[in-house]
Amino acid sequence: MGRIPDRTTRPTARLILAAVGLLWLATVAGCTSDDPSAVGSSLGDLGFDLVLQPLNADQDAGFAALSIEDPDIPVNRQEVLYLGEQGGTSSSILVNFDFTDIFSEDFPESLFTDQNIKSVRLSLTKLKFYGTAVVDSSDTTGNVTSGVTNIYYSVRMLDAPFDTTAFPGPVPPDQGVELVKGPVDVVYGNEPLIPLYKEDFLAWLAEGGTRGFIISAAAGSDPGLVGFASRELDSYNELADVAVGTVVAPNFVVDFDSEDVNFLMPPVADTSTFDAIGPVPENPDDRFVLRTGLRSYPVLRFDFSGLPAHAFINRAVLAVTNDTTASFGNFHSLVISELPVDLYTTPADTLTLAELGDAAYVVTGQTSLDPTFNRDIRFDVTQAVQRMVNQVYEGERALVMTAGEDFAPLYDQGSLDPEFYFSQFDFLGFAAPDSLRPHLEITYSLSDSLVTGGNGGGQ
Amino acid sequence: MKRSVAILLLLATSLAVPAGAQTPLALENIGQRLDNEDARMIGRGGWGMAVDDSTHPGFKNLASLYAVRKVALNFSAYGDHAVSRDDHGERTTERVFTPDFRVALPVIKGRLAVTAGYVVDRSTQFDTSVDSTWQVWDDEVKGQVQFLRDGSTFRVPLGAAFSPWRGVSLSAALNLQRGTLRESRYDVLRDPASLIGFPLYQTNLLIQEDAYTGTSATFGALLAPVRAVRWGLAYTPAYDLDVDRKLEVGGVALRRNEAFTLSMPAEIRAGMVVALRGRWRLGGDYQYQDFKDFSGNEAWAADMETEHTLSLGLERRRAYERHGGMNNLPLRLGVRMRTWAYRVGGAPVDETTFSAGTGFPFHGDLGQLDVAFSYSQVGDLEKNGMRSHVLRFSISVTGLERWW
Repeated sequence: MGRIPDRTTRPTARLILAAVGLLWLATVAGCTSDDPSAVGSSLGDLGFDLVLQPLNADQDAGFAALSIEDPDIPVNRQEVLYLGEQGGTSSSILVNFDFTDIFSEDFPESLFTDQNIKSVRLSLTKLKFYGTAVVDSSDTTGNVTSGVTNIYYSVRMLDAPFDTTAFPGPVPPDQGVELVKGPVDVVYGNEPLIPLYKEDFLAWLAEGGTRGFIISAAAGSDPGLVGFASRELDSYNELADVAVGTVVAPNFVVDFDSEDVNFLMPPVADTSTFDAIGPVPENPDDRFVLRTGLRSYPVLRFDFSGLPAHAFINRAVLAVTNDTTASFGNFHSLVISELPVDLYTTPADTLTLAELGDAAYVVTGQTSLDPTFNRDIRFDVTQAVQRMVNQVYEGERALVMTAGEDFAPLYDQGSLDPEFYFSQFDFLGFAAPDSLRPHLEITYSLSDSLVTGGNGGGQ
Repeated sequence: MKRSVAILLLLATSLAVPAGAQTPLALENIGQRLDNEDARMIGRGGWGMAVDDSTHPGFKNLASLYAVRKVALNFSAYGDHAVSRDDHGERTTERVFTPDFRVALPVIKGRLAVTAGYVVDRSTQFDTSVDSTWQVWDDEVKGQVQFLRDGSTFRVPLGAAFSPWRGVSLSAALNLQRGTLRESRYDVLRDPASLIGFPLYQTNLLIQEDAYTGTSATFGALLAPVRAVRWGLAYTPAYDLDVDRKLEVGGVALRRNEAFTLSMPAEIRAGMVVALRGRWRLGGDYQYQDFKDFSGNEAWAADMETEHTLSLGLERRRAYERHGGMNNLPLRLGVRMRTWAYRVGGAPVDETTFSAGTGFPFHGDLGQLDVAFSYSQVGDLEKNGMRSHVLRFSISVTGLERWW
C-alpha cells in the first residue's frame, strides 16, 4: 500500500478549491433561504383540534366588597377635608382652634380690639379639581351645567372640641347658633372666605382654650362632595395657585385697620366627619362599587365551568360597565389583581392596605379613567385566567379591582394615593342586560392530543 | 499533519450547525435518509461497501478498516441548495449539514482496527407558513399557521475490523442510536393589535418532542476473491428505538409524556467493485430496508414502503505521474436511485442523484480533501404532489496521523 509522495497537484489549486468549497458552505448556511411559505403545508399533521373558541363567563361565582383601611392614615390625617353629600356619603368639616396665647410680637394683644379689627373670616382652600366647574360636553352652548359651584357655608360651634379618633362617625353636637355673618350666602372661588362676627372671635379670645367648630354645606348648596385642603396637605399641586404665606388648612383670617398684614390662625386639628357613608352592595346583582377615599374594592369571581380543562387562553377580557350618571370623583387608575379568596372571611370583610398589597398579584390596569365619562371599561386579564385555569395556585383566586395603589406601581401615577380623592365608580351588576353586566370574554384554544393523547404515538 | 487535524477539527466545530431546510417531503414520517458517505463516495454515486485503502479508508463498510496503518480521521459536510415546488408555489432553501465524523485506529497494522464516530442517518428539517384567518367574537383575527419540523436520528458506531486471512475482512459494530424529532405548530395571531402593535390574541404553540434511544449492531464483511473484484456486505438486524414523547401547549400547565417503542426493520447493504482497464474501476452498492416491517407509530406505519438504494459509479483513481497535472487527479462519476421509506401523497418517493467529484491529496499522502457536486431530484409533482431539486456541494477531509 506504500505510495509515492504526490507532488503533482499544486498546493495553490488545493487551497483555491478549499476556499471555494468553504465559500459555498458559508453561502448556503441557511441565511439565504426563502422565508417559510405554504410550500409543503399539505404535510405535517400536528395541530390544534379547536382554535379560537369564544366563551362568555358572566355568572357570579362569589362576590366580595372589601373595605380597605390604612392604619397609617386615619381620616383625621388625610390631606383632604370633605364637605357635602354625594352618592349617599355626607361629610362636614370639623376644626379645633386653640385660642390660648395666640399673641406674638407681630400681633400683640393690643391689636385685637373691636375698633381695630376690620373683619374676621374663616378661610378654606378648595382643591383645584373641585374649584373647576365641569362643562357638559353635550351642551353646545358651553354653559356650565354641572359641577359643584355653589356652596352655602354654615359654621357652628361644637359643644366641645372633637375627638380626632372618632371619625368616620356621627356629627358631634353643636350649639345650634349660626356663626356666619348673615345672611348666609353662596361663597364662590377656590379660596372661600366665610365672614364671621368679630365679636364672637373676640369673645373666644377672651375666654381662651380650645374650641371646636363644624363647617357644613347649608341647604341650597349644589349637591356633591367637595374637597378642601387640610392641615396635613402636602400635595400642593392639587391646589390652584395661592398667595405666598397662605395657610391652606381652615383658618381664621383677621383683618386689622392698623396693619397691612392679616393675622392667620391655623387649627390644631381638623377632620372630615363622613357621618354617612354610601352603601356598598354586598349583592352584586344590581350594581357594585369601587370607592377611593374610604376605600372599598370589589372582588369578582366568575364561573369557569364552561371552559374545558387545559385550554390555552388566547385572550380574556374583563368587561365592566360604569354607570357614569351615578359615579363621581376625580380621574383614577383602575387595577385588576389576583387575590386569594381565603384572604377574607366574609364578602364584606375589612383588610388593611398592607394585607391587600401583600396578597394581590397585579395583572393589568388602566390609567386616567374618568368615573363620569368612561362607561365601557375592559381589562386584558389573559394571564390571570390562564393561571386560574392551570390551577397554579393552592386555593382559589379571584380578581380584585383597586385604584392605583403603591403595590401596582405601573398604574400608580403621580404622588397621590387613592385615599386623597373621594371618588366612586358605580358598575352595573350581574342582573344587567348581557353586554352591560360584568363578564369575561374568554377566547381559548384546545389541543385534544394534549388532553387525551393519541397523536400518532405508539400507544 | 497536526496542522491538518487542527483544521479538520476547526471545520467540524464551525460547520456543525444545521441551518435552513431540506425538502418538504421530509415534513412527515421518519424523515429523509441522508447521504452520509464521504465526498469521495458521493462523487461516484455513493458506492463504498467494497473498498479498502490504507491511505484513504472508507467507513461505509467497517470491514474495510482493517487496512489502516495510521490513525485516520474523517469529517464530511455538505451544503444544499434546494428548490421545492408544490401546488402552493416554489421555495428555495439552503442548509449546511455535517452528517459524518469518524475515527479509526490501527491495533495490528493492516489486520485489526477499531473505530468510532458520529453518523447522522436521517434528518427532517422544514418549515411552512400559511396565511390564515379566524373568526371570534366580532373580530376577524389574521395571522399565520406556522409548522416547523426539525430533527435527526444518529448513531455512534463503536466497532472493530479484523482480517483473519488475506482477502477476507470481518467487522462488528455496536451502534448507540440516538435522535430527536421536534414538531412545532404556531398559530400566530397578529391582528387585531394594540396601538403599539402588540397582538390582542396570544399565539398558540403546540410542541411535540420525541427523544430516541436504542442500540443496534452491524456486522460487515469484505471479500476479495480475485484481485480485480471486491465484495462488501453489511447487515444490521432489526432493532428497537425507545421513544420518550413530550407534548405541551405553550402556557398550559399540563404536559403529556408518553413512551413507546419503534421497531426498526433489518437493513442489508451489499457492494461490489470491479477493476477496469488502467486507472478505472466500476462499483455499485445496494441498500435494502423493508419498512413495511416497521411498527410502533401507527400513523407512520400506514405509509411505510420498502426503502432501497442503488448506487452505481465509475472512478478514475489517482495517478502519480510527474508533471501529470490535473490528469493525476481522481475523477468520479455516479448515479444513485433511491426509493424512500415512506409514501407521500399515496405514492412512493423516488430520489435520483447524479454526481461527480475529485480529490486532492495532502502532502506526504497523509490525508486527502475530497469534493463532490451532485444534483438530485426528489419526489414528483404528479405522484407525490411535490418535488425538490437539490444542488449539493460535499466536502470531506481525511487525515492520517501516526500516533504510535
